[in-house]
Amino acid sequence: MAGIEPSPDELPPRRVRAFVVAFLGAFVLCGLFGLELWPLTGWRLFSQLRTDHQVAWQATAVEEDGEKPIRFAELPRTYRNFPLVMRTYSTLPRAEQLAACRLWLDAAQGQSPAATAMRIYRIDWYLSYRHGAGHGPAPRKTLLITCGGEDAADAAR
Amino acid sequence: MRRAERFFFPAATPRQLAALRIGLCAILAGRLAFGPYAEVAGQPRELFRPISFMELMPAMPSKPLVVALQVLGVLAAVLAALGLRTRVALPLAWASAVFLNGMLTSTGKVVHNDLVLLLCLVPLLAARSADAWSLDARRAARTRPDLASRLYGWPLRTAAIVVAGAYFFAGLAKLVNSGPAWVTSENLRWALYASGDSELALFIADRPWLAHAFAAGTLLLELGFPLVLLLPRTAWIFVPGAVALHTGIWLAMGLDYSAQAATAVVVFTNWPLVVVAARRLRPAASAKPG
Repeated sequence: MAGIEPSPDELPPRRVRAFVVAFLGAFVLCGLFGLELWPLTGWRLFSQLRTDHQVAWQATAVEEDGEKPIRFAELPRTYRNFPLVMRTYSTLPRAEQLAACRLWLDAAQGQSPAATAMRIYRIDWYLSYRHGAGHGPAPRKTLLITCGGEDAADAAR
Repeated sequence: MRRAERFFFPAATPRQLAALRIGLCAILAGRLAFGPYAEVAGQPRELFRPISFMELMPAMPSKPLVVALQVLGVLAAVLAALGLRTRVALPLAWASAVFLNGMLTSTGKVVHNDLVLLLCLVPLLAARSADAWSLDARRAARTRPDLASRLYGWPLRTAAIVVAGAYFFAGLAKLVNSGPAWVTSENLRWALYASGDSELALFIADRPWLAHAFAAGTLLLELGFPLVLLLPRTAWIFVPGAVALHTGIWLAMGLDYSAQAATAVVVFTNWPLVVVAARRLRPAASAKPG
């Protein structure tokens, strides 16, 4: 193509036009039907309705004198997707749940060297409890799994 | 048919297309240089949540591979911005970026932050984007950089459709998944309360009328954005609106959509006109007494 002066009305070659149609077609289809074919996407950003009820997860290091919350923000970034992994944790086979739990325990022993086990809790809490001067229901904590030590006394529900 | 052809394949100058190449590749180089890719490299297999093509990978790639790809991507993006070996450099930069961002999106959540940039670069992969304002063009001296042709307009139009579409579909997803309640319910207040304790987030969340106004404004901006494709002058409203929206989201929720905001600015600015205006201003400015 080098050295060719294009005429003002010359259309791009047929293959380029087909490329444009295919690319924009796929882009629009994913957008319309919410398909995730990354990097094409359904653009579901903040599209689900948020409510007062929140679900969070908390992992604690079990030491002789009690439990200490694990501060994932202070762990290497490779471990910081704890809340994202927890979203589908209950759907994982038990062996995979334990493997992930043990991995977090190993990483957490940097913060709590005396930790012998780790417990993961699901916490159901209400924003109104925090921001509405304690008007909403109090947070509810449910143990999902324990790993480490003699291992896995409680199964994930 | 002709109407559609004129819409999708309008005339533009090589300089307009070159400006898109330079702008998008400069943003890409910055994102690749400072992105947290090396930090997620080598993630334990148990925590790896691949999607799309990343499902072909047995685990998160190793740190040496990721750093090598990052360096390659930055170099290629800089070369593409300069217009040197553009036909090779641009696809290399794009492929590196897609792979590296595919890693970030394989940690349990679809990451949208750089998607508009990556998708706007797609048409450039098949376009004559280095026929002006490039080292390739300087060496070849082949085309008149100010001669408009339909060979140069389609990547600009395609990128504009991608930007407008990204906002529109984000708004559509809100309507489909939540309906009008996205605006009329306490939705945005809860989202802001849940996002942390930034003063701005709490200021808006504590005032229901303000939260409803921001929710309505967001939806209006997103659903109305495609108007820029039919009425180009409305870009003066929608593009600054989008920049303001992303700035607000960053301040209130700490979410960085700067790449998307910058992409929108690059795509909807007529850069050759800006250059001409800047050149006109320069002698006037230098003539002023110091």
